[in-house]
Amino acid sequence: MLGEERRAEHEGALTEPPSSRLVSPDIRDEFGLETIDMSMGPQHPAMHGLLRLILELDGETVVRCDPVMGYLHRCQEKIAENRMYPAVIPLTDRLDYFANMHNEHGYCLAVEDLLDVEIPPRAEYIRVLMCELMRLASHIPSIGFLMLELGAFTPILYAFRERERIQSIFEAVTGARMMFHYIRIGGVKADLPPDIPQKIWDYIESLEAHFQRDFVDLIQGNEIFISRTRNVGKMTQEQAVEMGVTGPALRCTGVDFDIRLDYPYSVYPELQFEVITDTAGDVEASYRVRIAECLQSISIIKQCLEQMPEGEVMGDTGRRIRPDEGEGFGRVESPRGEYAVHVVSDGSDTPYRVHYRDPSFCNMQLLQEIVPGHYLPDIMPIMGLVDPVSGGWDK
Amino acid sequence: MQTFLNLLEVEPIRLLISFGAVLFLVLNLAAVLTMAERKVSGYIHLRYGPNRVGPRGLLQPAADVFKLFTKENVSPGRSDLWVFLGAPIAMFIPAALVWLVVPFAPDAVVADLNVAILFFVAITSIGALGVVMAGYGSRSAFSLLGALRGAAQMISYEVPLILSLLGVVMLTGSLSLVDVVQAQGDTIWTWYFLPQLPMFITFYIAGLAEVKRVPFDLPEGESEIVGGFMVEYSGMTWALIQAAEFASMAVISAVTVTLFVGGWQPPLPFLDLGPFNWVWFGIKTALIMFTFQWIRWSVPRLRMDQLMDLGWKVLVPVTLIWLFVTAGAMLVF
Amino acid sequence: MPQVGQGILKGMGVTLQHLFGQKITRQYPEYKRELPERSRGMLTVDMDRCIACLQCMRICPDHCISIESTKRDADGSGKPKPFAVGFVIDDSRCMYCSLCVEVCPVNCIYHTEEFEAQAYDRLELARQFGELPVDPTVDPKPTVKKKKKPTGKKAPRTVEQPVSEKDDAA
Repeated sequence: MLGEERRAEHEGALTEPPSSRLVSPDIRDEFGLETIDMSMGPQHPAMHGLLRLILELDGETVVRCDPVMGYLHRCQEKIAENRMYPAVIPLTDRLDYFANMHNEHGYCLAVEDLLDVEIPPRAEYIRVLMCELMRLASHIPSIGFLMLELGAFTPILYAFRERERIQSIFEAVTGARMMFHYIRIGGVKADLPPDIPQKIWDYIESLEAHFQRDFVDLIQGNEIFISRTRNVGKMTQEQAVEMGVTGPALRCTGVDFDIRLDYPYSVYPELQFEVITDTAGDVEASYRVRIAECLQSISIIKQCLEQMPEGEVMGDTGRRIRPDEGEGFGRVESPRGEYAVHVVSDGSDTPYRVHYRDPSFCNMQLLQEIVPGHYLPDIMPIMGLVDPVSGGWDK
Repeated sequence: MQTFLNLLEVEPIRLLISFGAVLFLVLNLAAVLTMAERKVSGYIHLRYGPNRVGPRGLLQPAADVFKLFTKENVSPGRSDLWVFLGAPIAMFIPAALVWLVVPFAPDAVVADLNVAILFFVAITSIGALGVVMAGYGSRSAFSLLGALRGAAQMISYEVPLILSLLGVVMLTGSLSLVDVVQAQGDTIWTWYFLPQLPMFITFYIAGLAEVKRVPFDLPEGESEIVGGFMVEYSGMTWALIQAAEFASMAVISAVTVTLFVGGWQPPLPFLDLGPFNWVWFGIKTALIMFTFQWIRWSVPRLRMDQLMDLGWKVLVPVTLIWLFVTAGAMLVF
Repeated sequence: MPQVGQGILKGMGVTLQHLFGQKITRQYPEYKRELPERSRGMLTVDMDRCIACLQCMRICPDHCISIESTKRDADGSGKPKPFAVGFVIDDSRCMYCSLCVEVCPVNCIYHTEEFEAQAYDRLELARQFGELPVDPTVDPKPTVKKKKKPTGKKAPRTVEQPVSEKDDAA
């Protein structure tokens, strides 16, 4: 495992846990120490989207941290109840706007679970290919955001250069740069344009050529980066599992939970890849996990392009999608963790109930638990560890 | 023309004129440095930086200043108005004053004080006052945190900054900056940055911290406390704070050049430009300022406790040890 | 601390490489990227072909299409057919999902390459295509039928979740 040697190296130098920095309320009363209440966000330049943190500060030490969500709430689940099944897909694009493909995929899996439709293998491969490109386009900016929050502005621009290039591929395939509406119930909207596989090959090669330089050499060894992230936001496996954390935030504590392997869907069983874990459970570990997952995604993309069969890209769903009464469930591994959709049908052509389980929302529960005791500047890297997207937690 | 030159001989008039010239220089320097900062950051970020106003965007600072002049000067409702408005001035004046003792060329110095280094040390320590005033006057939690950080950081880094000067003072035996430059000679290997390498690095790092540049920009810390002590400023007060920041950055670079990199002295004797030796001073200062900007766009920010650790546990001991080494070496040789 | 500063210097080397490297900015109004064939821009309607089937109006998730239809004998065949006298696409609501394009039986609504829509008034973004203007502020009443009330009648059946060995182990 990645973190093993590093952990042994620093076992002796472990600093005291952040909670030891907290002054007990008795002492505070006795000496008349006061705390400052500070409201961080919802309009804060470095906050991830529209999140408000109510902080109680003792000097620079955070005593209490309450996340307040809901500033971007759009009633997506209720709107979905009044739209026909296919018309919900463009709405799911607006949830976690850094993982649109995964949102569409999760919803389509849930509806296909209701319909029992057979999806052509080529469509499955295209879905996985697009989802893995999306994972790259989400993980690389995540690393950039982490650095932005630490005060280094440059990596985010290199990250967005990559994201823009991936988005150009998406635009050629789907017609839009962000709100794709590409994965449909029963398959995908259209086959890949003939020149796209070559373009993806070219892009992947160019990414591999400078991935090491721009995202590893620039960041990983930097002493300031290490001192700002090592042992910051440290959590145990038990804590992470109890909070329902998934995705890189969970895997950096050493739990090898990945929907792609544990609850396989689509063509993931036919592809070769590893689940990346680290043992440290701090911000630096999550960075390392994301970097390694990017490399895994690259390998998956290559396999998809090599193994992709010919054929149809759309299964037979009938003209109107009107499932029988029942429930459908779909879960995918989005870049932030487990994204699950639960659809209840009452036999009409609109869903009776749609529920999205978004990893941003669930991972956010970590903040209350692990932030107290850290210094104020440490909140930002911890946000980078959790990496929530406001479209995801507010739905 | 002749009468004008004669006027320069008269002491108070010469002082006033040259001080006016230096003030003009400092104000323009802020504009030029803003432009340089944006261009360097743009090029590092694979962008072009500002390139719309004027040829290659060179008139951008003028447009910025025009915009800032026309903006309303907003002050928070319950702020301490006089302290709030006084803070930018309290920040700008020290940054401009240090220029009085910086020698641009053998004769081009506003005031050749025999205690110039002491003057520099005294004036830079006032800088913390403006930060505290800004943070206190704004009456905002973010500003207050920024001011507290700023005060702690600037006062702490004053210590290694002063200690690292002492090696040069010992070698020269004078507190006058002109003497320091002249003692360094006109060859690159006799400049003080070689024998005083740890002191040079310490002075550079402490100087970075003193002017609140990345990785020591905690008082601003835009990703956690938004803008720190200057979060409530707008319009020209904000512009004055920015000008003060850039002016103090230029001052620290100029003093670094003067103390360690030979001031106006050419790197090799045959490169002596005679009366145009101030070009060497300009080139060296620009190089040091470029490294400031280069570092800014390459590294993240330190945390308060790590900053204090670096200052008190690394820089201060290093300077003290090297003072002993310098003293010993002077005894032996 | 044996190698302190090495990582920072390495990072600074990377930024120095980029300082002199190729720039990737494209100056937008002067340089316009060629849009791919499939790109979805603002919608337009070919009113001559429209048969007023109202499919696009029904499928639109944002209710941005409003159609005013009557029966008219437009082609002179003697039989009055549905005819769209008013057709409005409200671009301030449209999210370019392309559902209307896919559902149109005569391919009369399609995407253009236009994407720069801007106006001082929200209503200016509502583009009229028909003979008569249609008020875009009125919700075109989606003709989705009233839902059956399933509550009480028949509880939705629950599907058992697949349980893997991993769950048992935990």
